[in-house]
Amino acid sequence: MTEQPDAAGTNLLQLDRNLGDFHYDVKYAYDAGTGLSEQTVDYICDAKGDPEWLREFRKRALAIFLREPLPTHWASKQLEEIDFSQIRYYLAHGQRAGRTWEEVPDEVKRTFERLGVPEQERKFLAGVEAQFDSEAAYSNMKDALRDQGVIFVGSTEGLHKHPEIFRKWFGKVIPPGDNKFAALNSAVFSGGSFIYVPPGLKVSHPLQAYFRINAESFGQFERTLIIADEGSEVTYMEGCTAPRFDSATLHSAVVELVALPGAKIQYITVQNWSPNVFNLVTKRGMAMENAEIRWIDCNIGSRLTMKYPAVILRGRKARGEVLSIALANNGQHQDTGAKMIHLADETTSNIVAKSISIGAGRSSYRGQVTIPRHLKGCKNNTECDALLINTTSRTDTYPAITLRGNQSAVQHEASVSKISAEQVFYMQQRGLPESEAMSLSVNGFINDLVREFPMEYSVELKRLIDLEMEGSVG
Amino acid sequence: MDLPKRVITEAPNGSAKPAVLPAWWKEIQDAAWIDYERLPMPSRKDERWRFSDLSKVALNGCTAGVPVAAPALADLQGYFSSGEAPSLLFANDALLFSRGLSPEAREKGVVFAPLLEAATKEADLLQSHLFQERVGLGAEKLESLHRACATAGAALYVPAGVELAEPVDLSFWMTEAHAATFPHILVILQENARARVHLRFSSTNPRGGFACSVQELFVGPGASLDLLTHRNWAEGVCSFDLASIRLSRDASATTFQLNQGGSYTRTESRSRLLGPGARSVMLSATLARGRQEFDQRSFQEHVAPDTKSDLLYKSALYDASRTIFAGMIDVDPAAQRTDAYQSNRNLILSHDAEANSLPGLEILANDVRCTHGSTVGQVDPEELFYCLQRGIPLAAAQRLFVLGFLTDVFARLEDGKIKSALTEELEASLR
Repeated sequence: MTEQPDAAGTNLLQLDRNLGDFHYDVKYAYDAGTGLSEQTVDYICDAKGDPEWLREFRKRALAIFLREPLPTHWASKQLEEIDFSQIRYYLAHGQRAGRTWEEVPDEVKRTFERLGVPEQERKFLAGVEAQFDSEAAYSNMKDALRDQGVIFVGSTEGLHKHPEIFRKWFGKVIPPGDNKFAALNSAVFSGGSFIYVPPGLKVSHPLQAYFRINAESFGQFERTLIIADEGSEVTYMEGCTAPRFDSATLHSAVVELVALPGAKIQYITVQNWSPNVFNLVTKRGMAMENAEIRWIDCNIGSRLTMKYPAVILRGRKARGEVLSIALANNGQHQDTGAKMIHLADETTSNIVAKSISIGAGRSSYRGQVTIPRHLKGCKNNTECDALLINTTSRTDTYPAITLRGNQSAVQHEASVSKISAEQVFYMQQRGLPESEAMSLSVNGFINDLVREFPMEYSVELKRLIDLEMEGSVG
Repeated sequence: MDLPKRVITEAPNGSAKPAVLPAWWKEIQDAAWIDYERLPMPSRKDERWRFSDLSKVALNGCTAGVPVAAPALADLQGYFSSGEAPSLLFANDALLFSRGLSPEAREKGVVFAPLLEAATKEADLLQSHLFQERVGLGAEKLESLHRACATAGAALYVPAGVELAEPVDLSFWMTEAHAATFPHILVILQENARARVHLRFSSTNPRGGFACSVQELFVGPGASLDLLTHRNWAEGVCSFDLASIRLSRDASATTFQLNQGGSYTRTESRSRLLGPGARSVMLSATLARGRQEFDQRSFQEHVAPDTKSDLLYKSALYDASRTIFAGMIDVDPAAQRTDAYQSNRNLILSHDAEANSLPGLEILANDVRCTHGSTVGQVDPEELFYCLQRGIPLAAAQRLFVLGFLTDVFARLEDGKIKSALTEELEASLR
């Protein structure tokens, strides 16, 4: 369980350089235009001053992206609606499509009120100074931790200033060829975090990042690499929002975690993109001997999310865990899940996934658990529960389990149910309106997972769920 | 994979001659052959073939209509069940032995006949039911091949309100390594009818062969069908068994399979719950040994409200065997108050055995109770230790656990005689 940040100011989700770190220097004067080609990649490389190896890496990845077909033989056909030629792949501040707060539709403002982000923060979230404040917000932490050797910078700064650590692991957990969208990210990535925690250090407060998409028809491709050296511990939290546009927005991140022997990484996500965002994210961690990686994942927003956090259990006694909450409302498809690849003896993994489908929303669980031959004492436990609110709601479960050899064990269980009419009746009898009773029941369904989130997130989560439940009764 | 030669034969007493088919049947065959040639081979990219070892899918050189040699014929004579039960025994698609219905059953209008005979005598009935169902869980190409080649098999028709007292026995054998067989089982139960069918697939030859069978089962309103399949092909046999059950209002069906033998065995089982109150129980016990692969796909299709399905597939894996279970519970928006269960249990007894499990749910209605569970594990070392301490040798203890694990599925059957016969048979093959 994560410790709570003590100072009120640090509770706020930090703003990250989601549109690229470099624009502190260049005053956000970059726009790579729409469409994707070698020129786009060159433009990004030039703008960011990428070293030559990275330019080659990006171009190799671009070739893979262009070559690979969309995975529609198993995934949603909605993917075909993404027009890759109409997306802006690189847009630094100053080029923010001429949007000011006055232009921002009311609905966007409401989004922020719903998120509970105060008036002052709203100014920089949508404004050009956003980067500014996020830097200051974690510079406090930096001061405290810098002396101990913690690195918490953007991906660009990471690869420029700490190439010896960055290059060792960058693209190793998720190579560009992993899937079409990992290749896309590798070709055009910008932003995201690079974190290194030195051996034995336990970072007591969570490190936070906040991702926001502001421009229309934009694609955000942040890249996060977290390395926890031997025996260290770190918790990272990310949140995200985007304004609602008619056109599709693409968010395709790659997150790589490396937990060296004995280290612990906890990665917490609250995804609340607007319903025009395609959220196609590849997240994978590698856990060495005795290390532990936990993905705590909550998906509330976006139009289509495809995200299957994975842990590769490479070292003896490594542990992996995915706790996942998904909430799919009208027009949304939360296609989430988890992957556990056991590659060493006595590795254990645990997956608990809960989903709620409201209205015509669809939530899917897709899982993969692999325990190859000759491993001893490996264990996996998977539980997926789905709750369906309305008659038009939909849920799917597609787990895949492979186990070889007779010295390991896997168990998987899933259930689908609706809100108990008796529970609601009981609460109504005691004077609660139906909607409140339903909300309470839903919150009860996911309560044990919500508790795993840090306090300020779990409070927010409950409020978000109440909001999503609004008008869904009857 | 070479295309098998298309030989459509009728072969009483094991000597083949071209079958005489009605025009409508011939038409279906010709269309199916075109489909077969057109459809692509299964590919690993196809989710419905995930984990399947496609290199084991082979029908090279196998042909239908291989003559049955005299020694095999004598063996089969011995296997032909003694007793009163109506039975048909086929080998290499040739009908060798038959015993008809009791006079009482015939009087009540029950029909039990080889397909070719039924096609002429009960032309209307067959024309409206034969080859009307598609299983469609991946093996469309094989299903088309079956349609193009099938002549062997039986039709069972039970009119409204009739309960068939005795189970009907059907067995299909292969006697040669290069034989191919395409058995077809057609069961039509009218309103409130009741029938039991025992099905056996087996070989007299030591190795090889290709089998592709299809079951079309129509269970009318309030009718009840028990179908027991015992599969025990010889080593090296590649086989497909594709079954579809249509269940009308308040109909119920229990299907059970005991799987042994073969090199690659794929079963596709689809239960279509089309009327309110329909109920389907799907059971399977598999004993996988050597390098055998059992590839089982199931589909519980809830179309109507208030339907119930219950699936239990258990496998015990020895040596370097592999099993694949891919099940799907599909609940249509209209199928409120569905109660669906799906359970896949695997017991691994060796370092090299591999179990793959893909239990799936697709739920489009909200007032449902759908659950699935899947486990893969080994015999509890403590339980083994307990046995060893009491002087039970390891091999015997393991056998007991496997027996207990698989007979758990038999316990779901109602017929006590069948239960003990199956247990005995399993015990014998474990020894």
